[in-house]
Amino acid sequence: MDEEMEIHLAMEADDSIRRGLPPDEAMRRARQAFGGVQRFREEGRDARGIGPARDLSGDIRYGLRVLRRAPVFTAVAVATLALGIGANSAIFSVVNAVVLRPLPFPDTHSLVSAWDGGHSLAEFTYLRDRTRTLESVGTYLPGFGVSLSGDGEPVRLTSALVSDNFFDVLRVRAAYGRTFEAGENGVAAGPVVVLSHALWQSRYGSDPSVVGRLVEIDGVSRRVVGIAPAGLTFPSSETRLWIPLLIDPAGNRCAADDAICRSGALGTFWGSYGHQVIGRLQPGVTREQARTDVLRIAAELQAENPVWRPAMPEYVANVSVSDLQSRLVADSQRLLFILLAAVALVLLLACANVANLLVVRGAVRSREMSVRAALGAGPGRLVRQLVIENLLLAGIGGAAGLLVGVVSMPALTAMLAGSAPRLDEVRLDGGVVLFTLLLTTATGLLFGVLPARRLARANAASALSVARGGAGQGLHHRRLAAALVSGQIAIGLMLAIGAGLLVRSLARILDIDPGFATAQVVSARVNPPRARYAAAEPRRQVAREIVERLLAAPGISAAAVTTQLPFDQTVQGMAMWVDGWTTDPNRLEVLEIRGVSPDFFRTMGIDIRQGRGFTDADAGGAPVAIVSETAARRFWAGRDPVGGQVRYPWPGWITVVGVAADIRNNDLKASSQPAIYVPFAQRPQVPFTVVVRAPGDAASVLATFRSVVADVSPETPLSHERTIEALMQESVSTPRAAAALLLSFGALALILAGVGTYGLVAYGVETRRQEFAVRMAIGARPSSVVALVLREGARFMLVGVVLGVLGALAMTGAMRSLLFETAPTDPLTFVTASLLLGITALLACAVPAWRATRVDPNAALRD
Amino acid sequence: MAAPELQQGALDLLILTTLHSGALHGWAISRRIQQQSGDVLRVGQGSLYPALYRIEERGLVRASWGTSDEGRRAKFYQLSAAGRKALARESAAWRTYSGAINLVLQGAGL
Repeated sequence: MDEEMEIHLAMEADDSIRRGLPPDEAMRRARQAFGGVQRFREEGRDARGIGPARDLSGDIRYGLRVLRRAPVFTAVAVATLALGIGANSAIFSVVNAVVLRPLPFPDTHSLVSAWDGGHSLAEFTYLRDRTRTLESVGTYLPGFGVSLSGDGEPVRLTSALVSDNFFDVLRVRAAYGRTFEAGENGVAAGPVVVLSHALWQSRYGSDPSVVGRLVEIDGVSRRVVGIAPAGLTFPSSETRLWIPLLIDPAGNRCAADDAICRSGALGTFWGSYGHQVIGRLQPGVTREQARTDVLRIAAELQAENPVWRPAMPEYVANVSVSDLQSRLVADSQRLLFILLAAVALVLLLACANVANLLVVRGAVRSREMSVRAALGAGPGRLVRQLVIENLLLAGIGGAAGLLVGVVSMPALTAMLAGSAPRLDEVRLDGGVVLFTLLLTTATGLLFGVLPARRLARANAASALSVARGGAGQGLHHRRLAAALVSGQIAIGLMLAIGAGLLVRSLARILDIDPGFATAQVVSARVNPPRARYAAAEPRRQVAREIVERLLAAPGISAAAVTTQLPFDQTVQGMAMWVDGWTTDPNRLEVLEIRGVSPDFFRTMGIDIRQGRGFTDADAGGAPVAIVSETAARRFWAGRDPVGGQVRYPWPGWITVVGVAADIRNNDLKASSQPAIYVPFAQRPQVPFTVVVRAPGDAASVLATFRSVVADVSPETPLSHERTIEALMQESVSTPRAAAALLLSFGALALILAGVGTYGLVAYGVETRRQEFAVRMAIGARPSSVVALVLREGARFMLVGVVLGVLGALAMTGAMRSLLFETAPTDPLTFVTASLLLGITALLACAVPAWRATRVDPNAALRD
Repeated sequence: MAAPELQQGALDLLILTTLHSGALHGWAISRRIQQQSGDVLRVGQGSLYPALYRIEERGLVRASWGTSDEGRRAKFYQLSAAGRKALARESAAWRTYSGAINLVLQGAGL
């Protein structure tokens, strides 16, 4: 085409020369007549582009040229899309790994869990022995911290205690060696362990000869019998080893005359909840049938063991049988889907922003569209080209978004740690890429179609007439843009309200007084090897020595021992007979039980409300106990609890000597349950936790701790070393993650809405420059011009706020389950969020409004 | 008299008419129109080439490179069969259209 132009030019010059003009004059005239070659070249090229380039590649090449010609617009649009699509990609990758992808072992559809609230080994053995619907039943206790030594630095790891058929139920074979075999849960079994693939790689360099070697775990020498296959970390993503449970219903591990050991064993068997059943349905059996089966077994268990399982209807009603995968993700599902909804809203916001940008660009590209329409492109053709351009824009944004998603995945999984299972499986895979692709296409169509149709239709009609921001088209564009910005404000408000509600809920949770001191207290679990500390006396001795040595160390003001640290270890329940309250020997009360040393209450800052605490004399004296306020209120209403009598399910009365203030145990949100404390000496369990109160640096206190324990009992490792403060922080990790994530989305939404508002108002001011100039020329005060702009801004802002409030009200059902003591319609949050958004929008309006007053009347009128 | 604005459809018709007697290159077409209209209608490059490409798109003309009388390489346009049919149709329509307008103008005494 260029060539033709040049030829035409040359011929025109030739003609002039023939008519007598000198050559250079002829050329000059010809060029002059030619006019703006460059501009025409471009328009011509564009025009040409339609015809021959009927195929897709031509459209794409043209679209890329268009985008390249407007670098600022393209950059802003791509960045906005990348953020919106990227956030969705990241959250989806988590949802994919946690909820959608099947568990990494075969035939997961026939796997079920029962007693979803946790159960003890008693339930497990009954189910295993009596089931008629499950072909195999296993159990596990997840999240059991151990310390591993030998072959390198001692290291603390998470393990799972499992039944011997655990891997068989999962139908998983060892990668090397074997998994557990029948009998390995028994008292007589030799200690063994199965290592995870990841641990085998990182610590043993993938050396197959590890199988058969001895390793030391919590002081016990165990033989490595096998390595699990790669990718298996069930039941939790941190599991690094599997250790067989000790299932000892009769206390056979104890010496014949050791009543205390025996009662401890029984107590553990019947009262240590936190185990989870995993079973495989027999072929052709439904979950409903399995549930009926388990109900029957639960009823039998209750009937045959009234002492340990008092006849409470809730016990049987609580039996549930659910699909394993659903059970695993049930707790986090709600949170994850709310996050997904939130990022979807953010993406809508981003789309609105880009659509607005396109509408504004539409005014600029009017001329180009007119030329192409004049050259024969019908509206359909123009729309197609524009849609392809927008899809191209979306595609670039989507690719950038995928990158954003991948980069933010580690941060996201770190934030969600503890709130969702299977986070180690989060990665970029085909599913995530496909999702991103689909989302990108939908996005491109969403933000592209409307502006494209408007632009094409408006310009195909008027062939070559160009409206340079004329009032008619400007108004059209402004109305569309205003609707979009109202939508943005609505979405921003919804996200802000959601974030506000979660923050309030979190604040309420953090406000809860756990009932004990959280500052300046550190704790660590002491794990004396069971082999050497099988009897009661050595245990009492080691506990006593550790506490004495700690008290003697500088800087430590109090130290004590407990068999169950709240929020750290599984709750231990004990069925007890309360004298004067219990009337039916088959209806014993279940209390949370803790064995503590005398200084426990002082160290933990727990008040003794009545009576006295424990003293050293209690160690060898008559059995005594301290009950919690809730227990006192419930079981000794109207009577004095001090002096009251309780006993275990076997003979031997225990006198209550004091009442302690209530504390929360494992769940800040749940109310306190009745609890009972007995002297550690009368219930010397291992492992036990030592708590230490010391002002000053926690690290040095823990160092002192370690050296004391190493002195007293060198073969005893420590584990779970941390401050109580950190412990409490962990317990609120889920609400904190939810609040943090929604706050970030809310902030992003606020920025996008602010930018959108600014853009809209600025555009409006730009197209009405003449009007403002005229107003000010005839004497209007600048403040009235500002008021004019702000008034218009206020109009669509109000619409946005109203829509946002309606949207937030619609969300209440979904939010309710995530909130604690906060109504989903909390007025304070609604008002604050609306004000915040309103102020942001007004500020965004303010700048263009101020600039409107700076319009030079003369210059604007001249234009 | 100021040169009247050439409507898009009118220009197409003029080009087709000019090509009726044979193939011409771009410059020659604009020259011929100027001559035939008694120098009233001057078609600049800005209007001519878009119009040429448009009717080429519609299949009314075919283009091929050749050599001009002066020995320059140039692109020559010639009517296709569809072009001839379109020309007959458009010129008939134009005559009807302009005749009707003339009648109205005469009736008003202009």
